[in-house]
Amino acid sequence: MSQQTSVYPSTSVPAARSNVIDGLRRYGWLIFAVVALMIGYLIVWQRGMYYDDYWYRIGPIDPLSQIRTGARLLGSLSGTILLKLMPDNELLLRVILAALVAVNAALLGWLIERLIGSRLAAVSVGLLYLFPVYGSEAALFSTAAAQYLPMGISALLTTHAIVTAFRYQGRAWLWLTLSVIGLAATFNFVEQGAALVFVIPFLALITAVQHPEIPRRTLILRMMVIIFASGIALAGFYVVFYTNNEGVTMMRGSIDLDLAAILQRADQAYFQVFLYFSFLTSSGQNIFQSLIAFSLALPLVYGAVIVLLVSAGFMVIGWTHRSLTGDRTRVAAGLMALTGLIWFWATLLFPSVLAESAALSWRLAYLPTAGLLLMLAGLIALIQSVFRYQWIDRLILTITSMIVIVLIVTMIGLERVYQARNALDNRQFETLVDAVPPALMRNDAALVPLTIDESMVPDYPVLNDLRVGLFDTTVTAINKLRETYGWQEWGVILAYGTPQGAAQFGCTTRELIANGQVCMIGMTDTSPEQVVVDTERIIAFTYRESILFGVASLVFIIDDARVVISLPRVETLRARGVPVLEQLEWSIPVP
Amino acid sequence: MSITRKLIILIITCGLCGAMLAYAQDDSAAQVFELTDISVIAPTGALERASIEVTNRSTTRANGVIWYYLAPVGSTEPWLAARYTSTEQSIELGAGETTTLTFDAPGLGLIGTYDLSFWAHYVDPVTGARNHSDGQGYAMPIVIEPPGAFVLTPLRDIDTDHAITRGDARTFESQRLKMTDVHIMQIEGRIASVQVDVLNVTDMPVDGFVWYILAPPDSEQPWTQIQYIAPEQRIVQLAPNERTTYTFIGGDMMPAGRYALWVYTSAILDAATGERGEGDGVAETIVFGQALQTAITAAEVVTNDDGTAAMRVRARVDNFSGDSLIVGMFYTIAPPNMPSPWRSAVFNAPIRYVQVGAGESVDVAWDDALDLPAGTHAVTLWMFQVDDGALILRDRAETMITR
Repeated sequence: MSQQTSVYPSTSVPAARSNVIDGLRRYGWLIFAVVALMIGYLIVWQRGMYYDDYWYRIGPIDPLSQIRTGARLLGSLSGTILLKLMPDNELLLRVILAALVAVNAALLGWLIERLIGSRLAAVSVGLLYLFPVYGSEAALFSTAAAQYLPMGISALLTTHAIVTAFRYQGRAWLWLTLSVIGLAATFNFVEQGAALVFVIPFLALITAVQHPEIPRRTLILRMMVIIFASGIALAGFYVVFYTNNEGVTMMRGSIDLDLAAILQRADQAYFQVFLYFSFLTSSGQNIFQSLIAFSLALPLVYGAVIVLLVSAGFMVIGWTHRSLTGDRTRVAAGLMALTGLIWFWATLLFPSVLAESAALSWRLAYLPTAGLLLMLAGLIALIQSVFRYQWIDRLILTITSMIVIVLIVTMIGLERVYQARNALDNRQFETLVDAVPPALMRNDAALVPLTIDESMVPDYPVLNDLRVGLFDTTVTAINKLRETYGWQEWGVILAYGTPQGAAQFGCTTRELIANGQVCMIGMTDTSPEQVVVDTERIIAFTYRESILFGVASLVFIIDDARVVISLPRVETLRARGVPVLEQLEWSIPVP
Repeated sequence: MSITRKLIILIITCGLCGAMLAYAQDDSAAQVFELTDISVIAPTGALERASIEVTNRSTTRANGVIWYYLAPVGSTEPWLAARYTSTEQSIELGAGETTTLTFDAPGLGLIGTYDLSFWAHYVDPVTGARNHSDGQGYAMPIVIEPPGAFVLTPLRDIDTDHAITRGDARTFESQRLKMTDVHIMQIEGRIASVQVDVLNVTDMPVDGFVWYILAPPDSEQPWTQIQYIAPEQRIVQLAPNERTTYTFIGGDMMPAGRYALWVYTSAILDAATGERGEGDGVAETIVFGQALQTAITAAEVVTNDDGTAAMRVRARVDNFSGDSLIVGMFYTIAPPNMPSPWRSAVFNAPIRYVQVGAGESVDVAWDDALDLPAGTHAVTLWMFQVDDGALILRDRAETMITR
């Protein structure tokens, strides 16, 4: 016993140290990932609600209604359920969303390791996918995140299922079925997931290269089964949920298969918009410079960067080199790069580009980003297979971690923009409620926001256009107003979705004005339409210089003549001591 | 006593009883909340915050709302005459409980002196119906003014650069000297320099003069309405087709406003007599002083058709800056030479907010029912720029009226 006692301390300390070092070697990347995730998503976690969050927060969970009227049943469900956490359990929501981001990054990394066996590429790309700056809405905008992140999980799990179906020895019906169900489910979260069908042949090719023992006939057969079965499933979904769906038609228009129109939409709505946010354009550079500067204006970020540098250092130093060898691996890596490119363009373009009113928002870049990263993983694997040195691994990891740190700083900038937007939304809303208490608002009131000042980040004006205001979009405003004013049947009409909240009065005619009416693009419930309103009903307001003003009259220009339209209901506000702008020097041409 | 008379008495009696009963029932609601101890925080003399103590005098937990009115001094029915109604605060108090509620001063909707009164409504928890519970007025009139609003801070951003290019061709047949370019530079509302390029458009050397004047902006014969004339500069033997620049540095500061700056050049026809030829002139409208200016264009007491008196005031605001601005304007009527006339005013007009585009002017009108007491009164117009939630006094104008 005494011998054991004397020996034990002298060997246990080095053993423990060795275990720690071994742990760092094995899991340094994981520690860096966790630290990065916490810093990147939780330093600025109090960002409040934004845009559709108001709708999802108060929208009832009604699957039947979703089946009848909306196509994204799973997306709606996940969105509605997660948004119930707002605003009281925001931290929990942020943690859940960050965890979903992490799951997607892990699934992508694992997919890369399965396809080409490169741990370096898997870890590098997984780390980068933690901070999808281009698809930032999918991680930061709660409603989008609550749909796009589960969609990402569904898409990546489906990809895994397809790869397993290709490799499975014996009858693979279970995996084939799961692949088809997975594709349909991904489509049902968000439609762009269906574009993964384009990627299936390339996954089969990689499998064929990496696993020559699998009979080609089997591989082709399984590929065809997945493509055709999922094609039928997706077509079925389209027929059941999309044809004659008024809501979808209103938002996206009809399907238009004219090739010239498709190319034009692809060019205008996607390439140009996507490039607008990229580093390739001066506008994109301005945005990202401002985001980084705005992020660094928060002193805590400097400390966070130091912590990240230290943990990145541990990761790089502790990294264990594993060589990639063989021509098959190189071919597979090259094929994966190609697969990534196809993934990127397919998910970016389809199926939205087929719709008449295709629109691009940052959230739609989340899944395509995975494609870009697959391409990058292929390139990393190629480099790794050609230059088989430890220092190459470390160089790649160093570059990756530096990029990740820049992405984190950028993401924090974006989070601060959401925070600023929410703060401005709240200020505008609270001043409106102060000015127009529920008792004053009758159901026949037409609430019209006019050229709202949306300067939320005065020091970085280029960032003001990144987020839309509460009163810029009618449905958002209505849902926020509904909470306070509590109408069962909405009687208020707002101008619909125009820049800076400006109401559109373009459908107003001289005859209407003579009748004491104006026509505006507004809505009474959820769908925008031309609405004719008695001027007596209008409560027009604007928010400028941090003050809410009632508006006493509008100026229309008709045939170069100025027509002043009085809005008498503003006198109710004036009598309460609300500042009133006598005449808004903002005019619109009326045909 | 006739049946009819008895019936009438009965109806009246029942009516009175009913009214008393209704009053008693209403009074039961009135007993729910009691308002006491209004305290006013006004470190600068103007209201910053006001507090009220509320006690639930009923025997059960009760809900209610509290708010305050600001009404013209002496108003007997402030709920009708209120110029400001605060945001309501909801309360829920147990039996006998007391709480203190604090309210902020109003925003930018009014300025002046007002009566402050707090009001409480009991809210029926089942029906949501509201019943009057209590009202309490503050003993003294309260001054309402946005913090720091009356510090005059002119907006000085008239840094302009006027450039006029006219070409080399003659503008009239007998012309000898032609101004080809004029460049006027203004810094903070003053003329920093006037540069004039003069070209000899003849084939012989020419003597002459170059000078500029300031005149009213709409004057058709500015030389008859000269408000300032710059010292002439002599042109000596300007060679044929030669161009020379003459520079006037600085200039007198003129009273704030809009002017026409006319630049002239004229050749000397006869050196012996000093006879001058027809001048070549060019004008540019410039502004002296601050970028945001106001003026009273009319102030008078008028008698309406129904014989009532009204105060009619018209004002203009000029925005000479490069930005569209929101300004708030109001006028006070007070005894002459009062240091803070809005606090001791006979009348404070409601504030009118207008947006004034860059380089534009806007007229503002008030027609206020007001029977002004006899005597001489100062009508002072106040013009504020609204800037990030605050009022900044940019200009004021004053005129006297006698009643």
